[in-house]
Amino acid sequence: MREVELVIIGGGPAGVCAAIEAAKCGVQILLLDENPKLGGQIYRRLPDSLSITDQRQLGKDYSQGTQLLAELEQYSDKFELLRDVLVWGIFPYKELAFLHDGKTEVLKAQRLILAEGAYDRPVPFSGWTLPGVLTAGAALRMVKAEKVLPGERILLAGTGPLQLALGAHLVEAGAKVVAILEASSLSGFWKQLPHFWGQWGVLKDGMDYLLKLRKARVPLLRGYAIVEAKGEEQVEQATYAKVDRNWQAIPSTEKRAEVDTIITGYGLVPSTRLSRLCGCRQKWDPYRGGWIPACDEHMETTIPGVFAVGDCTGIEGAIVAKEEGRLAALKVCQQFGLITPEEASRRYSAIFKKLRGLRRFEAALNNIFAIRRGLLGQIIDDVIICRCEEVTAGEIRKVINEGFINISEIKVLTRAGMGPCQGRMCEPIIANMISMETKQSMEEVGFYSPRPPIKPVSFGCAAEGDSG
Amino acid sequence: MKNGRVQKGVSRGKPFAIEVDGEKILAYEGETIAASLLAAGKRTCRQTKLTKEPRGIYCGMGVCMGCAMIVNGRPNTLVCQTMATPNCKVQTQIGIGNWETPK
Repeated sequence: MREVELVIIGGGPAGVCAAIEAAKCGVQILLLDENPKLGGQIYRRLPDSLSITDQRQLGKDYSQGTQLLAELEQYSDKFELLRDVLVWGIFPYKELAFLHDGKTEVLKAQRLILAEGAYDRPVPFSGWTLPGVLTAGAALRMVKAEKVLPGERILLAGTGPLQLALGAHLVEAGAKVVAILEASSLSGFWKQLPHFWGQWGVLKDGMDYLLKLRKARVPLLRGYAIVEAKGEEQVEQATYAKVDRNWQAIPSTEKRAEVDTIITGYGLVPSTRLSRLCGCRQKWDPYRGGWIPACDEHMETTIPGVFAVGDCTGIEGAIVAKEEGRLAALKVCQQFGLITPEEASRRYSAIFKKLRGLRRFEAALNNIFAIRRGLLGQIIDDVIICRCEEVTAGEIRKVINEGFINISEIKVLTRAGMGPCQGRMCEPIIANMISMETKQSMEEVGFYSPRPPIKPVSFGCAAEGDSG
Repeated sequence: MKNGRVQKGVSRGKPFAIEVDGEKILAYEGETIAASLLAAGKRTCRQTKLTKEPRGIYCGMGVCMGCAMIVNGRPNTLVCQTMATPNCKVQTQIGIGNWETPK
């Protein structure tokens, strides 16, 4: 079996920075990415065939991505890159199986850096499975990287500053944004203000978005959330309502809007399928998105030689992700004896210092916009929770009431989480439902244990490959 | 035909047709099938296996599996992760989908 010194999984900001640092020290690197181009979700590249005459339309993230990928390109002879790769299994002793070009390859990594990223938090409500209900990530990708409008009359519902960015992009692209619903009342904002001090770039971006939205007369409603989507074949109408401090809808405050699209942006959930497969201990951190692998200060997980970096270790954004990627790579270099402990600790302390300020800012944001559970309190029994296996809230509540209080038991009994998404969508919802109904902590409720293949692969593809 | 593409300040690659449930729709080089479908106002990708409800693009990044369609005879192809190619044949997937018998 082929053996590689360092395998990095994920080519977003964290993975790319890890590759750059490791390449500088001469580690043998294999970088694996799922997409046809590096950059991850935040730095997603335009296809070569698409060109934008006004570069400002692309935004700051795009140019930061361009810069970072150009930096990586300088070391292109020092690492191996495979794109369009699906890592479908990690086995003991850091052996991985991945699909590339229709074939499975198996190899052994001496060190592993996981940069799995994150995905949009699924938030269920009546009608959320209708075509025309999209996540903010999907909408942002369509309008920014594909230059296609996800709809014509759009309602945004969610929380956090990403909604303002998305709203501004949609308006600029010519869509009618009917309203932006912010679930938070923002009452904690002033208390957190000191933590925003110094983050001028981010604050200025926020102001720019607000001005664009005001100019387009887009109402920004604080303390409102989406409660229902209606339509035959697709979204035709949205119902939203005022919510209390716990984000539970207040009766008889409902309003209706004729829309063809509802975009939900309730923050992100860290992707932890690979770190779970590795057996890394997971810890519950609601302010950083949920379950995340426990890491030491150099981003090494509880499995020696396995590191996790970026949003998959807690939602903190691209700038933090980059620094975490560098930290992990430096630690790997130190472990291989390629940099001296003195040099390493000098580099670490510079990064730690940067991270302290950045993390304070991210924590302040997460404090205001962290998801509140009242949002799930309003789910009526016939709402689908597991989108793959079509399991409703009622079916899940029924088994909870029968006394089954562990998420794995409920998976076996209802099939929720057994479909092709492997529970990525329903796990955060069901875990919260169990915890609310049974008064258990999220740690007691637990999480699904993924098994390979973690994404659907055909039997033929899984079987074909190097078994030696 | 509806065209939901942003035109201002954007220049696209080669246009071509793709076939969606027997109907020709416009697509561009470098575009995902999901983008071509949304631009044409086609939002239903599949019908669920139990309740036959319509589903469309939800997560847009290959996680939710909501946009599984039959592409060139291959079921469970995620159109948000698959590039449109000239004359590719896209079909609404019913339930878990079937492989098209090769001719």
